[in-house]
Amino acid sequence: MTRLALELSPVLGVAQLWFKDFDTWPLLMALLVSLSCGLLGTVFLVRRTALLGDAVSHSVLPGIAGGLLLAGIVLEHDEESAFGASPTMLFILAGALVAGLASTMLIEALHRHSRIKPDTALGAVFPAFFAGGVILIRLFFTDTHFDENCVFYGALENIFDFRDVAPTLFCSILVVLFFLGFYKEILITSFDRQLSGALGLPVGLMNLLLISLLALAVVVAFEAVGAILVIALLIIPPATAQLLSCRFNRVLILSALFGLSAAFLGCWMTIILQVAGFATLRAPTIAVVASLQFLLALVFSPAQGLLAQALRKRALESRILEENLLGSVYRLGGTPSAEAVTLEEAATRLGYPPEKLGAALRRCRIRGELTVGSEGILLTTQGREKVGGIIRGHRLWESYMIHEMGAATDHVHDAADHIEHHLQPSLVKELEKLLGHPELDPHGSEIP
Amino acid sequence: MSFVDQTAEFFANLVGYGSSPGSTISAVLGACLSGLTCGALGSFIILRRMSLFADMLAHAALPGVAIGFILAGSKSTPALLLGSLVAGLLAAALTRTITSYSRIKDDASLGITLSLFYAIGIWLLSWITRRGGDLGAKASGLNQYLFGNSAIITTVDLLFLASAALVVLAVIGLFFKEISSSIFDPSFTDSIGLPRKFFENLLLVLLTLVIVVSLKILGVILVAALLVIPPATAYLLTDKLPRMVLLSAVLGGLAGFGGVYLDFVLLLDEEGNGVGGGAAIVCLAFLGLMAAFLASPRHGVLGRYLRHKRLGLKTLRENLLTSAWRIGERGGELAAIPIADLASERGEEPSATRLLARRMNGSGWGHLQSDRLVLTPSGQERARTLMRGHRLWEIFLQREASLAPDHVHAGAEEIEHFLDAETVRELEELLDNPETDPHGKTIPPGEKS
Repeated sequence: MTRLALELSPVLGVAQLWFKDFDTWPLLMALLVSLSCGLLGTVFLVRRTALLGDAVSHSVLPGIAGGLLLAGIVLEHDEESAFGASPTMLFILAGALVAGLASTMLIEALHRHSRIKPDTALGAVFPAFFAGGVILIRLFFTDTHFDENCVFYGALENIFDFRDVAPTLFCSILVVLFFLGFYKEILITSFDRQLSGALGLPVGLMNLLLISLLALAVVVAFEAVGAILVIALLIIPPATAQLLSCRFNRVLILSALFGLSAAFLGCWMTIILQVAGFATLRAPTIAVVASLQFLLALVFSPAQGLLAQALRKRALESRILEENLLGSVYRLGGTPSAEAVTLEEAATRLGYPPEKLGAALRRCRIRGELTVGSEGILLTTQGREKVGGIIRGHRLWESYMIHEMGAATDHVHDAADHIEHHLQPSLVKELEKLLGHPELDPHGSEIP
Repeated sequence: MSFVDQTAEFFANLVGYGSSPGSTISAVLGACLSGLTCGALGSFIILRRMSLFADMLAHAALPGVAIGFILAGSKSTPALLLGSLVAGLLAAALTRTITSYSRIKDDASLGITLSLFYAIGIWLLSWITRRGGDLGAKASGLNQYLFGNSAIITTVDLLFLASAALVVLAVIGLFFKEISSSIFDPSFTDSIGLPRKFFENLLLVLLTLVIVVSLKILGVILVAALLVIPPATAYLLTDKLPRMVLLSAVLGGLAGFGGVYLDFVLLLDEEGNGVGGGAAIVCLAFLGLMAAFLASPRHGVLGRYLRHKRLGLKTLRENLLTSAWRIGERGGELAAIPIADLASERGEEPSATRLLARRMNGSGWGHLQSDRLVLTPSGQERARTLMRGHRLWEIFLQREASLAPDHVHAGAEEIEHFLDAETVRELEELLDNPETDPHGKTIPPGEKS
């Protein structure tokens, strides 16, 4: 009994932590930030300006520092008003907005009015803004609460009540409302500039609004996840979603869901790891979880994943091997009264080592397309029908190439060899119609 | 201490007489060396469109630093360098995998790799610094790798920096032709049998090397800026690659020196720590870029604006000259055309024409005098040349481009300002010195010869 309790104690400890110390406010904050980042990030990703998020998140830093500085000069003392919306906060937001917009405009100006390329302009401007922010902080905020580390690590741990979460909540609601209200406009301006011009949609205004929202989201996220890690939430969940679906609305929803789940799992993992003696912070853990989600999707996505691609390639390769084997047996065995063919003969004709065909032979036998007797391999009726279809496609294609494309008779076989595995029944029918149902192929062989 | 005192102290340190000569000298040496190397290599990087790739590599080095530290158990330079080198190369491989095996685009895959590696790096750092104990205590200062700090450069670091600089400069010098041809003309490079893939990978390895050795001075976030900003500045100032490389290296070195100086003078706090130079170096370099962007003679905004203005003024004046010539053709006195005539010829209000005519002043072609446009001999000569070019061009358009006679005027009106003597001579030859234009007007004779 005691042993069981001992064995269970880590589990119980985790469960206890889960209910008692799984603090609500940091989690809520993380969820809100990842929701708005996931939605906004998708738009920038499909617009091929994914790195603009990177640029804006770096370049709000001087704006934040400048806003804080200005607030210190203008305001007598920091009056905390309802729901965390203090005047200082407004200064910071305004500063960040200005800096974010200024940096994007500067990037635009640099590559539009000089021969500097867009990527170079991006790479030059945002580190410079960031460096400016760092210098401002060092010059004016060395002894205040303004923590440099907060820039990197975020401070989800320092969120204690609703007041801290309120601005983020406001921002997330704004973002969600924006997407609900202007979904069609966002979709059209992102994918079809000409259509949006024809419809009279304000492309420039839409850009401005999106970048402003991005700057807003980055500023409120600044406290939570840090200026740099916010890129992870802006790029990775949308990219993960893009690996799973091609439709914009689905990508949008999936991206929000991936952001939310990364936030949730990240907060949860931080606590588990803490119990396991691996004390980290929530924000980076969330980013790592988001990265893991991406890597999983990259490998396991049903349609586009590396695994699915590899499986598809293998399936195709083995189908080609099987079809080549059947074809080779068919041709060697002769059509009217078939003779048995040995595996070696079939392989030699294809130019393969015999062992390469072993697995294909087994699969064809299981499917009942051929039988293996003591003399060699024989096609069954089913196999004969299948291979007839393939060879029919092959020879029709050869005729097509000679009659319609003007290829020389001795040049068509290799091409037909490749394409015979990919010809659809509908295409074969069209070929028949086009060629007038020929009976013999260019080499004089009969078309089955 | 005041600004002047600090400056004096800085230079005293540099020549070995100040209070902390060792650290200042190594800071300056380190910053200059890494500025120089980054600048030289960066020229190829921005031309190869790898600016953001460099940024990604720099961010991606962070987990390498953290893992190198954990494995070595101390901040030993070789361990951290090796770690970040491996991390950078892994990140490059991951980016390539993502772009070649999924439908995610180049820029997004850079962003993904960047934030993925960076997140892992920050995650590990947050663990190391919170861990306490032996490892945690040794880790203080590991944060410096984020912003960089030229004040903590040791002799070992300098040694690595110098050897990296040597390797980079040697490779650039040896393979200058091969690398630049692989950048500018990949298919030509392939056709003459140069191993282009090898040179591209060589560039990648050099890039990683430079980033890794500069990390301690400039930090993961800012190191890429020094690979991009000085070359971009040089790119605006010159059109020749060798000059660009040289200039960008010099600019990088200068930014390094100036940044350390600024840091020493302005940002030093009570404990003698500046921002560490990284931020100041990047800001200085960026100011240089902005200056070049505005004032570069060839590619600057200001220069282009002025050229544009000058061209506009010249076109305006020349249009007045051709209008005057037309009046002269109809029997008016070319030397002094009344504004009223000019206005009716041009279809304008006389007040508007008067304003335009006033802008002839200072051209040497003529000026406004008692409500007449007075043309000097050189103005009349210019008007004749313009008209001749205009009408020859009209004939050319009609005969050679088969345009209808009533369609040729607009084209000639635009090109007349840009026809030089050489082109006019060719037109004459081609068209057999015609006497009248498609509208039946006389073509003014050319130079009497």
